[in-house]
Amino acid sequence: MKNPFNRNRLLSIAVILISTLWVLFTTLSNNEVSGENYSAPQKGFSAPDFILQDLEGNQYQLSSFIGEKVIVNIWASWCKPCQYEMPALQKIHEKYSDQGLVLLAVNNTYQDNYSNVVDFVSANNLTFPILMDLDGNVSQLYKVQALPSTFFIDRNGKISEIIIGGPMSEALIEAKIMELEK
Amino acid sequence: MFPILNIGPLAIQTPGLLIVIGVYVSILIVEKQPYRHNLKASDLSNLIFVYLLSTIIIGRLSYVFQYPSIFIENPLSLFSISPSFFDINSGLILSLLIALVFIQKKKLPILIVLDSISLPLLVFLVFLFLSLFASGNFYGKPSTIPWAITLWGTTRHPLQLYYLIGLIPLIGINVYTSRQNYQTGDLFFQTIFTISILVIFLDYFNGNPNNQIASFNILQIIAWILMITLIIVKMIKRKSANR
Repeated sequence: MKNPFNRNRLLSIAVILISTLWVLFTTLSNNEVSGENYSAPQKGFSAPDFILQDLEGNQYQLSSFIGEKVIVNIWASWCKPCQYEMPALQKIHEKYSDQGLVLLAVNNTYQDNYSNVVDFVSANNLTFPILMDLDGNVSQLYKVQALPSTFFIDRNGKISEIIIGGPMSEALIEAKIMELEK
Repeated sequence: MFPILNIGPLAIQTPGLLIVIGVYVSILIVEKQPYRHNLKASDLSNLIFVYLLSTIIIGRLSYVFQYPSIFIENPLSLFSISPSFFDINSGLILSLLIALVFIQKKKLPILIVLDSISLPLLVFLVFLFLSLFASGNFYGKPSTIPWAITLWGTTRHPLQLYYLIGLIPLIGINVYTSRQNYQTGDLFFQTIFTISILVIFLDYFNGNPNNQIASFNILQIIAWILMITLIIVKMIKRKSANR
């Protein structure tokens, strides 16, 4: 008579048992992760909060826009891809600002020239808030390594998409706004 | 983490670069496989080419179907090179069907084909996890262990490195098995089996809460089902061979 508990069968049963127990054990301790709520410049995390002033001296705090869709575009006036995507951003602002979309263009002022920024904004008729990052805090907070860097933030204040580099087309920005609705 | 490699005025996205290198190295290894598996090198290269091309096309089309209004307004965006217009998951999964059709049309021995792509698959995974390490994606749970890395607001398990270390013995097992007498298809199924075990044990350390449904880690559960299925299939095969 054949031994029903041969080596291969025992090994298979052992693997099934150990892995099943591990899955059950880990499922019970997975509850810890679901409560995680760190802010970080990464998809799925809460967008790091900041307070900046625009060119007119008005103060903007990112966390005050919770409940609205927000685009944070970090740029500089000397950066060519940033320049090329600004008209697309302006069109998006005109199209979606009355639908609960907030567009905040954070200028890397610590690496830029204030008068160049003002000239660029008026030459391109930009009507969305241009925030001045005078000491580079926001760049540091968002770990910006290339310009432009754009963060799409959902109504809960969580980052839904990050686009590093540019220029972004109007279609791409619109697609990412639609993804924010998901 | 090195998401961007700044070379002069160029800002190269390191994760993307690592994926491209991974695809290239895997194709180089694929081209060496036919000699070991009695396949025509061109058939295997064509299969990989068809799979990659259909991944790109299906990935784009899937995105277009999800957001048709954007592409109706801007039809040229259909041909945009932006990776942001891709639904990569749909592309990767649905392209498997195209690859299957190609295999059947060319009358390729499917089990031998699967065996021959098992090692390149493992090598590609090494580059995939290097890429995820560079981008900081696929991050681990918060932890205070001595080897924890600071990432996304806290210290965490270096999950990508766990997978990288875990892949080394898997590659060793694959190379060892490929030098033994094995049944056709066993090399591939053994590779999938070992990857499943790796995922079952390591994905516990996954810190992404979106990976869970009611405390169940989706990747872990998929890997567990796959592993059980492979064990049952193997047992049935062994039983019928013994008759």
